[in-house]
Amino acid sequence: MKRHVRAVFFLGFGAIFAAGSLVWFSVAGTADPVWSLGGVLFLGFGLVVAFIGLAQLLAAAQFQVATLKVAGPARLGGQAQVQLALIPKRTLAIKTIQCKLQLRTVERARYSAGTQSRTYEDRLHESSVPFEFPNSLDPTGLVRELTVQIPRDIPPSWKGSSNSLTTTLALHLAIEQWPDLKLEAEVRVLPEVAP
Amino acid sequence: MSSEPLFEVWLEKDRAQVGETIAGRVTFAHPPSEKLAKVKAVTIELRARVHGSGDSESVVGAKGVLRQGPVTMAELPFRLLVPADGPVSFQGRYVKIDWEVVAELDIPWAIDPKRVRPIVVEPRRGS
Repeated sequence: MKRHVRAVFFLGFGAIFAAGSLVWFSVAGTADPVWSLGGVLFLGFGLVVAFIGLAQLLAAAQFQVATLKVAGPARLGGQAQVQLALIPKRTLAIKTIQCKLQLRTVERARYSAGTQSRTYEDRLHESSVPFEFPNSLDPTGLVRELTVQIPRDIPPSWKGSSNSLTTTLALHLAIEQWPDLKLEAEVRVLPEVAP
Repeated sequence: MSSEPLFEVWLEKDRAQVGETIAGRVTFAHPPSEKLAKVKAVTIELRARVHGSGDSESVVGAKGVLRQGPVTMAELPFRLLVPADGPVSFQGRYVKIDWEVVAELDIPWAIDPKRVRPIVVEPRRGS
């Protein structure tokens, strides 16, 4: 899901809960003041969800360009070429100790029965990709070409209608006094072992 | 009443890499029984059965009709191509991918008998 769509989804969901709390207050408050405590829970949950959405929009708003792109498919035991471009609008201080660039392989299965559905997920592989994060990012930006080693023992990528095996590269950039920036790019792992 | 199976599936190997061909044969009871004379078609299929905790699904790798009409011969050879893009066999916690070769006899007004032979599909070794 695109970052903006996800943010709007969270904001909308949060707003619905916050609005629900007002209805709760108006109905329960007149009946019994104790019941209005439920409205506080509604409001609290709505605000937390809305904040998550807002944080994602705010994190992206600090950058002119924030992309993580994988050049093409990679073989098992081979390498993936990745381009990372971070061009902020103003100089940002980075909490390097909290920053991460990770390669993850996940198996995912979705079970649906009627209107209910449930997703099962298991992380098959997780490793850190060596990357030296700078202490600060200025508007000249940071554009790097990276080579990521793909392990031999992970399953190749595959997507069905309800089941999938996917490998992604995830960047977590912790910005001083600002919501963290999270970027993800899928690595298509071919069913072929590199020599 | 004979206890000999109506037909059987034999594979040259039970492991294959993606993009490879699997060869085998379907053998029939000899002499041909009355049931084999009623066969309308003999079909063969290579498929991946995806199951586990999620909804089950199936990926057909190759499919074909080996013969139309009654079975009069002792065996039918076949060759099936494993798709180059997989998936490969996988046994995870929630997702399991099992490949199998399925031979089926289409017999009118009867339950179609089938034989299933599991195979393991592996990633291609680079050269």
